[in-house]
Amino acid sequence: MAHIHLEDGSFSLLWVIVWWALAILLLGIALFFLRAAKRPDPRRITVAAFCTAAAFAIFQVNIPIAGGVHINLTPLIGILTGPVIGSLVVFITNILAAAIGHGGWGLVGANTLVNFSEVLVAYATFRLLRRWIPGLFARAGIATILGLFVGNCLMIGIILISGIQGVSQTNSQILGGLSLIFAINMGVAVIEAFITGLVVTYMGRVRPDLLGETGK
Amino acid sequence: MSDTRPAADRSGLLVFLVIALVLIAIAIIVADMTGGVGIEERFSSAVGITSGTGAAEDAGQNGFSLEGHPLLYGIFLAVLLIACLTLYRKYRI
Repeated sequence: MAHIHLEDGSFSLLWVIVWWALAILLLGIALFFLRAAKRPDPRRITVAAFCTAAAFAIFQVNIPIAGGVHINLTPLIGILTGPVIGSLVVFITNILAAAIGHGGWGLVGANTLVNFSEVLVAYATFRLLRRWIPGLFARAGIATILGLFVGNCLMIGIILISGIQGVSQTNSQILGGLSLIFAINMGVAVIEAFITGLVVTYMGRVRPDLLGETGK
Repeated sequence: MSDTRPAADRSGLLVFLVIALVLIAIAIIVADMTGGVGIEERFSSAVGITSGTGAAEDAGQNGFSLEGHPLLYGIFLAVLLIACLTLYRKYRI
């Protein structure tokens, strides 16, 4: 998973406002689409609630791999709820995480954008690959890895664009350091891909309608 | 279609496993290079921050630990679970 693990004060106020504004714009668009749907599918809302609880629960747990990593299930959220509801799920998860002291409030906007990219790319990949990879496990796994790849790229991009206050490192030095985190995160993405693949495969067996896999 | 589907499934699975093996191999090499520091410390050192260790973590068991305030974590999780059960009872997905 990709998440900017920095405290408040790392980004300048300008960039905190910029990323928050973009995140609010994104949420506004999502709410517009939800309202345009007149009556959102209640099943999807319920699934979104379960996704929020699961993502919040697992995201706060430090898993003892390579010194400590996190998993946040964003690709699974994208596959199960889609990008519109998924954007609201990742926003709520980030807000709750900041509320318990995991990550700074000022970084909620940036982290929402990072997580949304994972949701969107995983959702789109899962749908687009259906024709070429009918199997749910492999398709969900590839969608997860691609989603987390894009999320990690965006995370690095946001940090490089924003800059870090009070450090003497150049952007290329920061990029070098973040590249190592990128590599470890992508290793963890494989674990997340297996989890997502197993959950999606199980749901495909018991409730294919929730995956939108009923129409062939 | 029925003949090509298992073949497509196998090739999809093969692609996934190859990608997974490559990524895990790279991650193991990098983790070995950087040592067993936590994600907060690894992040801070990557961007050049020397002080501060990020969010509070409890001691944990078997290496697992919790980020942030444990009581708030429990309260929020309980509220979320109650919301899930309420929605599930109402909509019966």
